Amino acid sequence: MMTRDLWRRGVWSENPATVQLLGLCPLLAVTTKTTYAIGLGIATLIIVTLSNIVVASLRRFLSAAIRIPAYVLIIASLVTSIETIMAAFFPSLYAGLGIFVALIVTNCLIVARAEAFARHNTVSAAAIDGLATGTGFLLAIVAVGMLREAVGSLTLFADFALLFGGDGTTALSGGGLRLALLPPGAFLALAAVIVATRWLSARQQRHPTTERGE
Amino acid sequence: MSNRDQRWHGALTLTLLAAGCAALVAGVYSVAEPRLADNLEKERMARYAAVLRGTRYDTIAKQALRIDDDAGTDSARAAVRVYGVFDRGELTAMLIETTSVGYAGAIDLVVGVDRELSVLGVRVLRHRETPGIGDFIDAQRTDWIRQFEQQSIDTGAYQTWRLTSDGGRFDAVSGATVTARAVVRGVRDALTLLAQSAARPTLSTAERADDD
Repeated sequence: MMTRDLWRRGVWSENPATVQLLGLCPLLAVTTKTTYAIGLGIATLIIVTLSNIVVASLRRFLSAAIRIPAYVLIIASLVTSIETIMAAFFPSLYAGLGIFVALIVTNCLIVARAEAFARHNTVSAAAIDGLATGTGFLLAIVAVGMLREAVGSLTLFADFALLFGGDGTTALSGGGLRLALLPPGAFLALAAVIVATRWLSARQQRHPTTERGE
Repeated sequence: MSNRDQRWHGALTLTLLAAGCAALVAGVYSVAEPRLADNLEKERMARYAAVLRGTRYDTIAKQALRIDDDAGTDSARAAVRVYGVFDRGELTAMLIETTSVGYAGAIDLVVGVDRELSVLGVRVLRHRETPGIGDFIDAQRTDWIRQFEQQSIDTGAYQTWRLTSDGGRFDAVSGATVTARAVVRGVRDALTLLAQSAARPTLSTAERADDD
């Protein structure tokens, strides 16, 4: 029950990107291609889960005064370690994903989960919360990425080989509405995704089909 | 616990945590280091091969060629290293490694040129430009970097070694002018330096510098 609740909140009702509007800087910046969005989403998912686990297991020692510096230390060390491991053992994945991993250090979503959840919950609950929130972020960022890429370049999943090996590159078709690829397009696409999710949850509340949470 | 105790307690916790984090990062790094060096070397060799495409060679000199002291400024010389590329002892091409400053710090470039200093290819060895915006300079991402191929600095072409938006012949990229400009400048300055170097005629005799 608890687990299901955490998943519902992380992915839907309190989705970090579309509801809490956290971590928007990387979300807006790298969503010109779905491939990049997937890369950043996966990297965020891994880090938020690990950071939640570490913060929850140290929660007894983290008094109010030192919480925030402790989070910064933990997150920065985790990101650095993950980046090093990826660069050493998965060089082709790192070539595609690596630069996104470094971006995550500053993602407020990670600190938010540490502060709002992990510090007063058990390790297993924090791990599930991290997975759920990370998945919610991944879904949101991929939605924005797909929308921008489809409208802006008339392609989908271009350069997918960058993430998962192989050497196929897809040339941009050159068509499409360039606005979607420029910075304002990021805001418009995010707005569209937020509208869509709000509309869906409003409809859900008008026609409650299955059991309701909360 | 008194206030003072709490403060000491907090300081101690943070110190221990910092030590733990440092140990984690150091541990991970020491395990990964040999693999990292290995990967970098492989990647470097792949980039070298890419900028020398179409050239016959069996050796790339380990030591940099000497650049004449009166060519360019001291800082220009310091930013450039030139390596001879040989096929059975004969110089067939040169590799230039240089660094330019982009939007987010250094962009390390490698340029392959033939004996007439015409560009065979350019690749980025390392950069920290913004993903999705400034990383078009990677050959895996876009073909932008290929427009240097066959270009040369000779015949008074120096003035056209700029972005189209600055009145030159290299495509600008909207939203990332600084990055594009940095790459053009880096390649141009390295070629200019090499062209000015009086050592150029003697390159074919493969004169090597005493030290790197």
